[in-house]
Amino acid sequence: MNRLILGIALVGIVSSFTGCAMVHQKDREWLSDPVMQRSTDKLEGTLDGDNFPRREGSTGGSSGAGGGCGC
Amino acid sequence: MLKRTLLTTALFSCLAFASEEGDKLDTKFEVFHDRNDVTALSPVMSLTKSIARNFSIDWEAQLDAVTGASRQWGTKGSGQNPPLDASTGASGKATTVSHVLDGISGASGKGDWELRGGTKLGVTWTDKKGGVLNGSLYASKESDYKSFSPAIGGSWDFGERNTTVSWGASWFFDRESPYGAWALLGGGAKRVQSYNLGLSQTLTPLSLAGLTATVTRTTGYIGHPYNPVSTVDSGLLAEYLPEKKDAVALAAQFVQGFHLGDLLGSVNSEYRWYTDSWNLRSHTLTVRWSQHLSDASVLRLQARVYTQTGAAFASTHDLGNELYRTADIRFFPFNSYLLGAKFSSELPEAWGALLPRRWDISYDHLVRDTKGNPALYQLYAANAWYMQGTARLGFSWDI
Repeated sequence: MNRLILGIALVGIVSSFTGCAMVHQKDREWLSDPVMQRSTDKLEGTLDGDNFPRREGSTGGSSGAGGGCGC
Repeated sequence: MLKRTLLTTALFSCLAFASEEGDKLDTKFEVFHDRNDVTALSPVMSLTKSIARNFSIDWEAQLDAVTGASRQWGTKGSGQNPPLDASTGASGKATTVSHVLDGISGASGKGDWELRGGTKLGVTWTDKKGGVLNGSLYASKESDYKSFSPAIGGSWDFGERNTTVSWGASWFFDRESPYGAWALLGGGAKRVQSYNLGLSQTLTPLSLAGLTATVTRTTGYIGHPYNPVSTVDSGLLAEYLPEKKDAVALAAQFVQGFHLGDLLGSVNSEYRWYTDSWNLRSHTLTVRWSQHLSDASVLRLQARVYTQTGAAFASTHDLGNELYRTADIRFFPFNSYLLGAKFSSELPEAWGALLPRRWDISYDHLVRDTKGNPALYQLYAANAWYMQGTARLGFSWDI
């Protein structure tokens, strides 16, 4: 039941996203600035992706899938 | 052999093709230290180079040198022979299994360094209409662990590039080969398959949102033998874990930009929820405030709160009727809190191509309430102001 509710919520969120008003190319100057990016810089992501799974019991789900950690 | 092949291919590719916009070399050097005198030095580099129309290669290489807490050499100052590590708790090359483990990494009383290396080579195809496909091979080697992983992924922009759907799949073929007498207690092949699906949507000229879902299945020898459980009569029992774990993680992210005067800034908030078939659940909230201090420099402050429940069978002591058991402190319930600051800046183009175009420096400070058996693991003292610190220095070149 919980999974069904979660699935419906996800579909709702996705649908609401794709129905958003368009931001035209000429208005995207700020969105292309580094401070507006979703992810941290590439090597920072590599190091965080290596470090947190060594110290925590859960991996995966944000910047990349976990696995391959020998800890 | 694989590493040499990847290295040679990447270097050849770098030399053989003309420079294009977006080609760059990034480097970063990380120093990790904790209050148990565990030190890890991690240089890492990434090379991105166009090799043909619509194609580019990415080569990444990382080295870790760990001392003061090594699975190979044991825990510093434990007074045991062999001393063991607390983050992992591993004995050296000795043949006996006596113990004191470090909860976060393990340490060497001898001042020895344990080395770990990893490299990844990827190819990316980019379509001008908004499609991206990539494939990569990853390999890493630690003194008791090897990993090899192919991965594929892609993304597609549509709706005037306001919406991006992304996907990824990776497969890990790993093997744990424990040291010395520990090999009698465990070791073997581990397989990981992970699939993720993401959606990113621009909402306004100053805001965007994203969702990511990841499912992961791990099978085979999942733990390692360095986390024995105490028995009621002070003996030790080897860790015993299920040979399968299924995990689901969902993350939601929202980025809101704003202006302080003429300078752009943003608040990036991300929440991640995780659950797995071992009954471990976690919540992670990360908030980053990035602020231009000038056109060429950015200050970022971040806070991260992490909390997890314990796995169903995480226990310091075995009562004798449990099917599965582990004393690995990563599977105990705990909370951690991270505060960090990062400054990044561009350097004058007039300095020439040999000097970097960008640099950054950062520091993250983390405290956590470690739980476990203090007779086996070096746990952090409660309420200590210093537990873990991570400093990084990075340079980036346009090539």
